[in-house]
Amino acid sequence: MSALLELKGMTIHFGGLIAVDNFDFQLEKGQVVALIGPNGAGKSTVFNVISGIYPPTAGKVFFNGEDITNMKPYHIKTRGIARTFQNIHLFKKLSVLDNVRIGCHCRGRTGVLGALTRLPGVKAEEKVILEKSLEVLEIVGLANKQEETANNLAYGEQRRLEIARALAAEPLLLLLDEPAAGMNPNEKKNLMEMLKRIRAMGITIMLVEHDMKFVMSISDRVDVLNYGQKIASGTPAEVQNDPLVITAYLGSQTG
Amino acid sequence: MEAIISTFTNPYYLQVASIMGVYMIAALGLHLITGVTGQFSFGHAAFLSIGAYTSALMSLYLGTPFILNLLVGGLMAALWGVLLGIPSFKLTGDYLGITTLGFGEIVKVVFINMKITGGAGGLGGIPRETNVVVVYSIVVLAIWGLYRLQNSRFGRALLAIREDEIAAESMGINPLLYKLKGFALGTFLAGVSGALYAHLMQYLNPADFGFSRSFEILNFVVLGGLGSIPGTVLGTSVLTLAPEFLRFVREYRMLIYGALMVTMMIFRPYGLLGGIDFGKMFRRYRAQRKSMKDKKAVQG
Repeated sequence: MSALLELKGMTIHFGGLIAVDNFDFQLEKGQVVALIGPNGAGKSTVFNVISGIYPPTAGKVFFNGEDITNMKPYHIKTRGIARTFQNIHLFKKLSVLDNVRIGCHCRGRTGVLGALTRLPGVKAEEKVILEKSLEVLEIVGLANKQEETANNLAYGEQRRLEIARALAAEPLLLLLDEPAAGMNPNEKKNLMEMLKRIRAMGITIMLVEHDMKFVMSISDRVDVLNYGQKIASGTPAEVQNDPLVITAYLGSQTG
Repeated sequence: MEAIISTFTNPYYLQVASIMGVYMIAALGLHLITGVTGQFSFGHAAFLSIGAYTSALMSLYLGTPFILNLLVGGLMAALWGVLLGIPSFKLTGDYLGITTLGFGEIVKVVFINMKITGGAGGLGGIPRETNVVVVYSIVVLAIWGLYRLQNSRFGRALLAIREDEIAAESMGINPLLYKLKGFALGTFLAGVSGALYAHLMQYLNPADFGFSRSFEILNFVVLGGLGSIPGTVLGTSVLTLAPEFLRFVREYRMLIYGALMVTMMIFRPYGLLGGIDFGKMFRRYRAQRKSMKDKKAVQG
């Protein structure tokens, strides 16, 4: 089976800084793969390249057999990659429902004329968008808050709304950038259940996360980045015992 | 129709009401650009002047019907809006503010130096075609259109760009394209407003469409509440009527007007109706009534 997502020799320089160096990565359909590493290892940069926010300095990105290197974020989204942001990027002054509706954007077609005329086709599309939005809000447990302004949600709820907004476009691949950051143990447990449900829907998940317990219990495979280089890859158990990984996180033993 | 109205009121009031409506249309255009899409434009009056001169020259030299002149005036303004928007929106950040500022001055200077527009002396003898009925029909049409736009996939994309451009782009929205479409629609309304102005005043002078006029229209939108249609209508009404009502204090009126603005911004920094969503209030009220009814039904 060919990979859903494939990165080949991906390299990104920011001026003189090599953020990610010659990174190879593969993701099969239906997998949950985590990318971990100390702060500044280049994890979020990898996400930003996959989702098209930064163009890579060198290397290629393939999705579903198609070369998506240097594509704009709005084109990549249409191909079926949805993401959440580490530092929450919600549409703060809009309602929860509108946030999710905007997530459905690339699955609709209505333009200016459609909006003005509201022909039957446009109304039908709005109905589909509304149903889809309510469905994903139900999944993340925010259905009772649809009229609330996004800014007024609690922190954990805002993170869940980010996931709902990404799910609304019916993606093939979901990129989660530190979904559990700032959540309490209870919220983390709920999030894990939620991700299992999302996985059961057939959506492939790639996540960046700092919480090791969380990563280890949900991932099929874990890749470790340190200073822009992949230092380990394997099942959670293998990675946990890898001496290189232990050194990267805890430093080497001297004397 | 106008004859009936004019029997109830005097020409001065009619004139003030018409001007107010004309500015409302321009302000609604800017509302879409600044309030909804979040792009600051400091040259809105330039688009008014493009619409005004285009339609006035058509009336004077071609004798085409008024409705057609209105439409072409609007389209001409939108065309220049797109031509200005393409290079401005390619840059990230608030470059539109700077380019529109410059564009406004250029347009003014061009109209002063063109022979066909009458230069600095102005263009007179434009037939009086605009009346209060025409103006307010277009105001209602514009408000209706904007409501529909804002509550659609298209309008939500514009709002998304205002709120967070990076996130909008990650949702599959092409920011350049949507900003351009919003800007074209907004400048179209400015052009129509300018065309109405030309056929109301019957005289055009480039000096009437300078920076101060652009800023005045921006004030209408900001004072009413950015992003709110009722706010834009209210802001325009208050700020066009205030100088008229303050006429009795003559030379102090601009002073009072200024003080009014400062007080406003201190006590309601988001504008008169900023942050108030009537649609949401209505839906809440309805939901509340429904739950009350359900409760009663259970008890009964």
